[in-house]
Amino acid sequence: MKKVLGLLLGVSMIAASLIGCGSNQTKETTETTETEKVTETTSDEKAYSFAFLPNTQNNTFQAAMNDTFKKLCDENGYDYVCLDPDYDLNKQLSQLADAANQGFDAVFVIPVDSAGIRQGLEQLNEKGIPVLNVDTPVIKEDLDLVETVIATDAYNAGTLVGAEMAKIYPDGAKIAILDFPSNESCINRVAGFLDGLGEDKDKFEIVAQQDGAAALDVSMPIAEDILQANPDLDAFFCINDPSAMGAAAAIKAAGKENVGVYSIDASPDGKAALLDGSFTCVAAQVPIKIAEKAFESAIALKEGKTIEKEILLPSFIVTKEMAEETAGQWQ
Amino acid sequence: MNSRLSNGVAGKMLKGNIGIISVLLLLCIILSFTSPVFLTADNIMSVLRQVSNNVYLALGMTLAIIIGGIDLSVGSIVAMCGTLTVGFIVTNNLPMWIAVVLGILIGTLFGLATGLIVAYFRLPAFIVTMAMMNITKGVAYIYSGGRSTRIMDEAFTSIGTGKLFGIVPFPVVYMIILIIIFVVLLNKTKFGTYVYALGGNREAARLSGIPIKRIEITVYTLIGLLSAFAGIVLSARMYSGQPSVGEGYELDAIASCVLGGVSMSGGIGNISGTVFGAIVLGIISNGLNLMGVSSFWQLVVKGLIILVAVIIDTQKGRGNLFKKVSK
Repeated sequence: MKKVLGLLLGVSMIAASLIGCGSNQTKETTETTETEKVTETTSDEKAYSFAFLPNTQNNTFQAAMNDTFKKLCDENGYDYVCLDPDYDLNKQLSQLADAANQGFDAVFVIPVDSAGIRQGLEQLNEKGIPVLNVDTPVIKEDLDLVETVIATDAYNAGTLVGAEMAKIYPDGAKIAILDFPSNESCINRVAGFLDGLGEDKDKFEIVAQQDGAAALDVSMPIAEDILQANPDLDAFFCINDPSAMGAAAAIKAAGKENVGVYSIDASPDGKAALLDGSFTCVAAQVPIKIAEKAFESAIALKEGKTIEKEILLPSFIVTKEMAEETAGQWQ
Repeated sequence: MNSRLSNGVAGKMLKGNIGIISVLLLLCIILSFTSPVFLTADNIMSVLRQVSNNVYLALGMTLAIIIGGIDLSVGSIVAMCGTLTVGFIVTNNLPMWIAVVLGILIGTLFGLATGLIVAYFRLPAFIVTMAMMNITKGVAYIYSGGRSTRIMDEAFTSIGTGKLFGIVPFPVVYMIILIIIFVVLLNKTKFGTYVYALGGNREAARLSGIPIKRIEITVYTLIGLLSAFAGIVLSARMYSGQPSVGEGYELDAIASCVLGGVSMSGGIGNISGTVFGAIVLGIISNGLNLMGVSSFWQLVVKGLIILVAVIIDTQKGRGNLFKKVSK
């Protein structure tokens, strides 16, 4: 019964994600699919079943990961389901328990709360199901319960943006930060950003630092108020694209032109914002690469190979040319 | 705000909302000392634009609470109608005005459905609108696949970002028009009288031949319409349709009503009180942001001010703080 429900859920989820996304990336992948399928089925007859347990599916980031897992599993003829807890920790714990009972070959997990999913991880461990922790790491104490942590190097992404800002304002600037302190990765982005400013750090004055909740509708009024209080503000650093889009909308509403917007994500929306000039600079998060690496690592594990405990994928500054090339997609 | 709204009934409104008005004045005095930009025209326009979205929702919420109901679905309808309208334009290439009308129509239909279910099945509005909250949020996610949709079409975004005479933001203009409409609706029409009668004593209202079902259906339909409108204006301001917005908007709307003296048990309340409540909430966030107070502390301060305002408001009814006033 649960399996059927899970399947139904998976199918409806895929259907939902298909409605929103275009068919732009299917073409080139089908060719590689054929060759991969052949080698896969000849070398190893076994079809695995994988599950993805993200913190939410209501975000293009997780949706891009889901699409990638789905595509890779389809290509290899593996079973795949995605269980969406919609930011509800309690729901995720039940889903982890369900996943443990269903006997998947491996699960990919983004914790709703880094410190809150120990019980679910233990259940998976008891059944001998390997856990690949993706995107948001679990706390240090729980690291022994996961095979590996695969994520974008958040600190690295921050330093790249900080260095870029230091380059653009060699004489320093008045800046505001929209952060999201309840998320570990976002804390690292801010820490990286501040370090990335480098030797000239003291020339930069942080006139405001507020929690933008990583959300557009929360960040926008806060950014408006910051602009009111600091009419001579030079730039915003925002921990993700929705937050940065809030800042950009506030800047437009205030009729200002020379306030820079620095962000991390390079989501499809963020790339569009970079191209139309609303964003000054954006460093990439790499959900598709995370999913690909996680899928690869899961198979390596099943084949008895050892994998690294922590795999941090490097970020990079997205140029306008890159944004044009990969418009409408993550990386 | 005061003189613009009230014309002849200024005195009555002042007395009726003495609690919330004193909180508002006190806040303004404190903030004008702590932040030099607080009282600038620019900042006042900015605050009004920020509160406008909440006011659209709170106007409808006032009616719902007065008739003894509530509507928890407003935030989700905001998200749904913003997402759908932007999607209609960008993804489905519909002409802008058709998309806007469709968006408003869909929100209104969901409101109508809520009203019909509440009226004909005699179910608590809390439950029905909670279900509607899930359904409408789901529709937004299904249509968009969870993705936000960017829109740079100036004809559309100017709905939320334009300014009348280059000074007054359009969202504020809509807010003022809607406030006037709702003040008239509630105070000068038979519908308004029925709304109070229904909330005051449902049985008595039924016996005196007031069309209860029609009133309930109208109120929830109006809320659907207002929420759809709020969703479209917000998406225009955000340059995007975002299925994930709207979280907690219903609580802000309810808080504005309660701050403005609308009784949660129905029958008592007025539009001007709610508007002052919404402005107080907006000014608190704005003022604390201007002062750079951390958002964690803002939650505490906001909660405390709601408590203080409500205590002042209930005490005035007992005659020990202010003279008792009628609705």
